[in-house]
Amino acid sequence: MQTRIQELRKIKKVTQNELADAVNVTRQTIISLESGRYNASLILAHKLAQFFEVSIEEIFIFDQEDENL
Amino acid sequence: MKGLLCNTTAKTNEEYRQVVKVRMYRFLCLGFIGSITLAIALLAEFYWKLDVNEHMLGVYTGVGAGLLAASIALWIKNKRLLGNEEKLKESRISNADERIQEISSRAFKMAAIVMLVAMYAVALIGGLFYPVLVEMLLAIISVFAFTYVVAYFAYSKRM
Repeated sequence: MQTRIQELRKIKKVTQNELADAVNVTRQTIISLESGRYNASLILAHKLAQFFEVSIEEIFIFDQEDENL
Repeated sequence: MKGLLCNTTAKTNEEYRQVVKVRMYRFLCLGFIGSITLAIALLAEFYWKLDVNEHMLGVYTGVGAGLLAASIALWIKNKRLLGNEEKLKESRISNADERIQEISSRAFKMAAIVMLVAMYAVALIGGLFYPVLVEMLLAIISVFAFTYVVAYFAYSKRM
């Protein structure tokens, strides 16, 4: 799943390490989320949304075709 | 790489400290098992003077000493972790990280599949020479399958 994490992180001027610390995951997980290699759980998605003060839909780009819907 | 069975849901260092303490207690139990294994091997050879296969004595001694040494090393490692807040946080995050848990779970699943296939192959080929191998390995596979079914239904009721 594609995400806007990198874009939002740059707007907020936070590093991957700082974001990882804030949402209690490793930096590698942030890298994987940004590159779309890993799909976040609902809990992590909520934490990220709270951190960036946006809704989950604004972070995660849900592609119906990719998800075969 | 994260160790097997190291998953945790601890959200703070205080919660994780309790997890580490429980883990240290388990290492003590592991060390105790290692000591017993080593003691049985040494007693069988020097005190009881049993006529035990030399190779098996070596296996018991090696496994016992290995378990004891590993448990002591891991106990010390965790004890040090408790005294270092920064390292404790680092360890907590890597053990609670959902992506790492997912990787660990997939690796575990793959290892279980390979183990089952390997055991079946050993039973099939080894059984031609040592029939007891077939009975032993199929019994282990049955325990695995039975545990899976019981655990599946137990978790189904919880989720």
